[in-house]
Amino acid sequence: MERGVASLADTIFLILIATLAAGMILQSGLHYGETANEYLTQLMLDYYAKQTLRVISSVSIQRECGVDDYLLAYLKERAEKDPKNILDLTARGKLKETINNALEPLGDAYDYVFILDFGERYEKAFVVGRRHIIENGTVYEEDISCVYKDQDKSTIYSTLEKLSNPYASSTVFFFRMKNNNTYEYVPVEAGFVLWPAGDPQAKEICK
Amino acid sequence: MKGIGFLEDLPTIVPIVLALIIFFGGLSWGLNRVNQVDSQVDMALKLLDIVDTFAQQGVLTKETFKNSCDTAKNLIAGYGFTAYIETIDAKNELSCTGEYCCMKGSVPTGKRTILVRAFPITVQDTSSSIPTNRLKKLVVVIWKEG
Repeated sequence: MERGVASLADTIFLILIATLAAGMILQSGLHYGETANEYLTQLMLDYYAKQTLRVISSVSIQRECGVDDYLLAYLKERAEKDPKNILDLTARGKLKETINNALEPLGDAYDYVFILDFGERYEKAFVVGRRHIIENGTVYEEDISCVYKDQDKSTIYSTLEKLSNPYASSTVFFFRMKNNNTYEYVPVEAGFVLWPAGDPQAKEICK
Repeated sequence: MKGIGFLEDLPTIVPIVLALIIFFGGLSWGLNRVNQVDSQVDMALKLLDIVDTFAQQGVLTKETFKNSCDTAKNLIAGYGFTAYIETIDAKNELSCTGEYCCMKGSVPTGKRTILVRAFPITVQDTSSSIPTNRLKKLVVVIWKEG
C-alpha cells in the first residue's frame, strides 16, 4: 500500500515537473515573439521618421506665385529674411501639408512633431506637429505650433522623452542667417518624432 | 514468474510517457515559435534593406530606380519581392507594372506569409520644363521563395 502511495506521489511530481518545464518554455516562446515584434516596430518606424526627414529636405512645393520650389529652400529663405518668424502661417501650412501627406500610409495612427532647433546662437526651436486628444470618449485632432526660447528649449526634449513609444530621427541642415551685418551658415538640427496617436503626455508639448 | 513482474510495472510507465509527451510537446512548440519569429524578423530586415537600397538615392529618377532595382535583386537572396512607386494615397497592391516597378520572382498564391510596407519618398517629375520633386510612396512586398 505504502509502495503504491509512494509510486503515485512520484508520478504526480514527474508530471508536475514536466508541465512546469513545458509552461516555462511556452512563456519564453510567447515573450520572444512580443520582444521581436517591438524591435521590428521600432526599426520600421524609426526608418519612417528618417525617410520623412529626407522627404522634407528634397520635396518641391508650390509657392504663392505659382512657381515650384524646394520646401527646404523656402524655409531657408524665410530664416534669412525673417528669423524671428520662420514658421509663419504659410510656412507652417506648407510643412504640415507635406508631412501629413508623407504620413498618409500610416493614417491617423500616429501623431508627430517636427522641430527646427537653431541652437544656442539663435536661442530658438520652432515646433510644428499634430496630436490627437481623447476627452470624454471623443477624439480631437489638434495642431501643434509654437516657439521654444532658449531657456525653455530643454522642456520640449524632456517632454518627448516621456512619450510612451516615440520613434525619431534627426539631421542637420545649414541655414544662412544674418549676424549683425554679416551672414553666416548656421547648423540647424531638424528632428522628427512620431508616436502612437492619443498619448496623453503629448498635451504637454507647446503647452 | 518474470512475465507477471513486467506487467506489474506497466501502469507506472504511463505517467512517465505522459510527462515526456508534455515536456517534449512544449519544447517542440517553443522551437517552432522561435523559428517562426526568426523568419519574420529576417523577412522584415530584408524588406528594410530593399527600402534602403531605393531610399538612399534621395530623389529617385527613372535611372536611379532601375539601378536600385538591380542592386536589390542581387542583394536579396532566398526572397522574392515587388518594389514600386505609387501616389501617396493609392491602395497597396502585391504586384506592379510600369517604369517604376521592380519585381523579383512572382507573387505567390495560396497560403503564404507576405510582408507589405510603404514609405514616403521623393521622385523627380520631368513632365514640365523644370524638374520638380514629387512626394510619392515606395511600396515593398516581400515573401519567402520556395
